[in-house]
Amino acid sequence: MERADVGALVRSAVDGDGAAWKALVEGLSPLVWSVVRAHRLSDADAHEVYQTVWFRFAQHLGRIREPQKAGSWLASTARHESLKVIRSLSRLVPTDDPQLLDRVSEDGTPEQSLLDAEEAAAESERIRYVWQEFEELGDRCRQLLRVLIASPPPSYQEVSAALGIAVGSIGPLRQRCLRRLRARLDARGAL
Amino acid sequence: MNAINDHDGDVGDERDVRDEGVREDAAVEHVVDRAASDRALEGEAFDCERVEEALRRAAAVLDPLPDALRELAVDAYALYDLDARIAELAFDSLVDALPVRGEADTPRMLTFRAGELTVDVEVTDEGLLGQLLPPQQARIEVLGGPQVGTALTADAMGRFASDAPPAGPFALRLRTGGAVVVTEWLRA
Repeated sequence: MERADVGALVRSAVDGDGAAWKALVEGLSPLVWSVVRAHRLSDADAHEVYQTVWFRFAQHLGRIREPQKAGSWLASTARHESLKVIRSLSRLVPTDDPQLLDRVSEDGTPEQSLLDAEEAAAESERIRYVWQEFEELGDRCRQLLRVLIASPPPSYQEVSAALGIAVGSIGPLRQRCLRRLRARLDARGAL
Repeated sequence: MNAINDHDGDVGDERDVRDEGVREDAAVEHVVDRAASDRALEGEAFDCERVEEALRRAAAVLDPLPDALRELAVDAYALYDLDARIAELAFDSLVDALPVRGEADTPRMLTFRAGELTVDVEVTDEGLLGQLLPPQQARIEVLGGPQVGTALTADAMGRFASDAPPAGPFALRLRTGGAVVVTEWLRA
């Protein structure tokens, strides 16, 4: 989301403009979601962290010192709350989210593909491949890309807040991770 | 030679004409190389954008933000309250305490502070125990979201208890005297 917009929307929301708040949610909730998903929280934990972040943002709304950085505020709060959950589980983050993988594979029966229009089937197949290969990437790449592909795309400042990495390293890391993903997809002939 | 030099903005030196010539050739080659590698880089950047776009579409289909969660965030605007003071989290056993050896299920200890007022909270599977300092009476609401919460009271000693452990995000809204204090939202 454009930072200028974010600052103006935060100020309007502080002044009681509900539509401005709604616009903030539209623009920044995908970022918050991407951060909790990047940390591989279970669905239940992800939902709770997401809510906690927005409740706290509403609570602090009138006291946000740099309104134009609200996206970074949300991203870093989401990160800290996600890390707390991981800590409370007192185990390492699982390398696979079984539910997610199930969802990826469950409706891929050949019968169904035949029923679908050929093009739509090819597209959904492609989407599945892309997601599967993405899930197989290393943690660093998977985390970074999960946040970068939030829609609308976050700024590097927000990505930095979301993952605790330096702004300057995001660009090179992004290229590298995308190259890696592309190589996997090429090997599979999926792109 | 000079024309080329001028064109490149180089300052030619008569004594080094032959050297310059060699250098020019190298420079031309270099330029060609760079153009090729620029094209390669552009191609790669394009490919990377394509991969990222494909991935973004995949995320939109396979891991979208649930609509219900978007609505919850919209509704959270009701929690914006400029009149309430925030009691900030000053201690969280999850982060600040060393794990107790042999104790699998230690209670979550939380301390919130707003100026002089301290709110100590202990969350267990059985419920919630709290202490206000300095000790004082208060009407307390255990919030789980923008809706009305569960009402509790702190006695004259500042103690309060609930036998329903908060599930998910929670905050305490305290009314003491004329002031309203809300603890920072937290996931229990």
